Amino acid sequence: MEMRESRAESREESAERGELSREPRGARRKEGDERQAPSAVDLAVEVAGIRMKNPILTASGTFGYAREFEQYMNLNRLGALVVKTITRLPRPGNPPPRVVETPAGMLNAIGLQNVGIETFIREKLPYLRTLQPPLIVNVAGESVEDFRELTKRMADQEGVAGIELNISCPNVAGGLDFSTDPNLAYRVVKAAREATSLPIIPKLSPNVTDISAIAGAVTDGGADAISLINTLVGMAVDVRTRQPKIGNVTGGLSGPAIRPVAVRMVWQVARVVRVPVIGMGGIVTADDALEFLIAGATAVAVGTANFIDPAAAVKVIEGLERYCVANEIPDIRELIGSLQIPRQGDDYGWSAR
Amino acid sequence: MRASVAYNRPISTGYLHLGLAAPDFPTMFRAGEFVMVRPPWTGDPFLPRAFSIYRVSGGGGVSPEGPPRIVEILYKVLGKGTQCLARMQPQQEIEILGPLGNAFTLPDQGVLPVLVAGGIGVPPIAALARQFRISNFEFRNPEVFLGGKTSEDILCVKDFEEAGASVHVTTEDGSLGGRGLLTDFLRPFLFTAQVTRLRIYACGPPGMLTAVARLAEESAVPCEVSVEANMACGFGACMGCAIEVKADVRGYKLVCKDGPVFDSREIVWR
Repeated sequence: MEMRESRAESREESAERGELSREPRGARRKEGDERQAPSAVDLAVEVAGIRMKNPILTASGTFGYAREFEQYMNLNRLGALVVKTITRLPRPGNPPPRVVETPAGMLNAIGLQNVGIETFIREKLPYLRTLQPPLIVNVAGESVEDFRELTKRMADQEGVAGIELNISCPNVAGGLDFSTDPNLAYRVVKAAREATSLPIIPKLSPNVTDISAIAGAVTDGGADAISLINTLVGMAVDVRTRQPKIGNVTGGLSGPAIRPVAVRMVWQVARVVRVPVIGMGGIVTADDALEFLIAGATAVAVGTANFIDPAAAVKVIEGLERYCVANEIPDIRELIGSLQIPRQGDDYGWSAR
Repeated sequence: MRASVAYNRPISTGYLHLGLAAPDFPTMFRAGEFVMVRPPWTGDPFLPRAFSIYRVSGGGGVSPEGPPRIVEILYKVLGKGTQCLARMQPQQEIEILGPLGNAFTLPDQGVLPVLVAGGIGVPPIAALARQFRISNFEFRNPEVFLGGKTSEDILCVKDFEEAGASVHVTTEDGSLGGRGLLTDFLRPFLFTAQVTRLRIYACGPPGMLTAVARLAEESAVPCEVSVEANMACGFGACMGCAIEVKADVRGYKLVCKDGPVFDSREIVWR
């Protein structure tokens, strides 16, 4: 609702006056910013005060630190950039095999391999700052205090528009706990909230009985938006060797295989929380992204599809635009939460509502 | 980039030679580099597959009259991905990404290259032999050791002969060449070679590579290996294709980006 009220003012005018308090400095720093060709439709959305020219983000862990993709796509087309999880210290990651294909998806247990926050700030951030899309950094801690410190350090950096909290990585010891226990989830988000005024976006695990309980806990803790879903814990066995196909035994399932679960969880959560939801899980095409928007997501992230086609995210953006043009939807925000549930006959004895 | 199947023909039992017409693919590649190949499949199989480049033919590609640019790979039908590839027909569209990864380093002059390939590990090694022949440097004619379970696993002998190499074939069942493991024949060669400076280039199944790496260490011959790993993206984003390395603080390198070619001494062999 708030979103619609803020439309009274043209977003371009306010951008030119520099009134976007939470707009990342990095997004403005480039001289002669390319203006996208004028389009008949408005794809722009706003998530927790972060303005995005379209609702397409990259899912953390599937987009490296963006540079890996620069030769395959125009990174400035993205609505926002979410980069791979950063921890306090460098992490070597898990023993191989770390990935295995599964039906319509893959299992991974990378183990949060990353260079650590200080190297990230020194070596990765300067490049990310040269890109236009708002930058959302994703951090993971081993304790509530870790999350507080990581958030504080990241928020101090120029060019960071928001912090996504990875409280749900299934592949590191303890990583999952923060997102399966409402109390812990609340405490992590609260600690991060106290450390910065930047938007805080916890990323939730689908491996829970009641996702709306966790979503409620993190909004109570001060979350400005919610990302969901992270991967589903899964397992695959090589029947020839009788060994698990993943070195870590279990891994996180991603790809189109999990999309129906993700859409359902976005729908469940978007109805009960007051903050925007960033939906993700198996988005490969524009239609996939639309499912999430219609189910209630304000923005969506392309994840595993980036691996099979490094230009996937841009193709989704172009597909969204085509859909809006073809269906005469001038503003993509009309679609958000526009799910139509046909009335069921009373005889069924249950209600889809 | 978009490509289409030019041909997809059997070259031995269970092995096929796939030519992909890809006008935008660079003419020059370095032996060892690979491509990610993805037929227009929709979910299962889901990921693209990595294949070493065997050859790029067709030259210019700009002139419409000229022969089309063809990226060639050889593959063995093993799982879902290769079964799907084996069904591809000429003209069908296919996505390729590449060339990706690093490459074999060329030896110094005077060094005798020892090329070692097991089964479907042969394409990058055949590409390397060809690269030796067309490069401006004068190399010694390579010694080639090809191994397989049976004669059907021995591919590309002609390529090596055309590149001026001496080819030693071994099969486990003795159906072609010497009977036994490739390393049974490589070992005496390495220890009795009259040339002081050798350099091994190897690609093949993990067991063979491990044995070759050990032999290289015993005989103090430098050795480069092209390795394989489960891989999702091929360009360093997924970090899935980790390989354990020695003397590296991170402990792992990525096969797609840091490799697929490694100095055999760098790898922790299991």
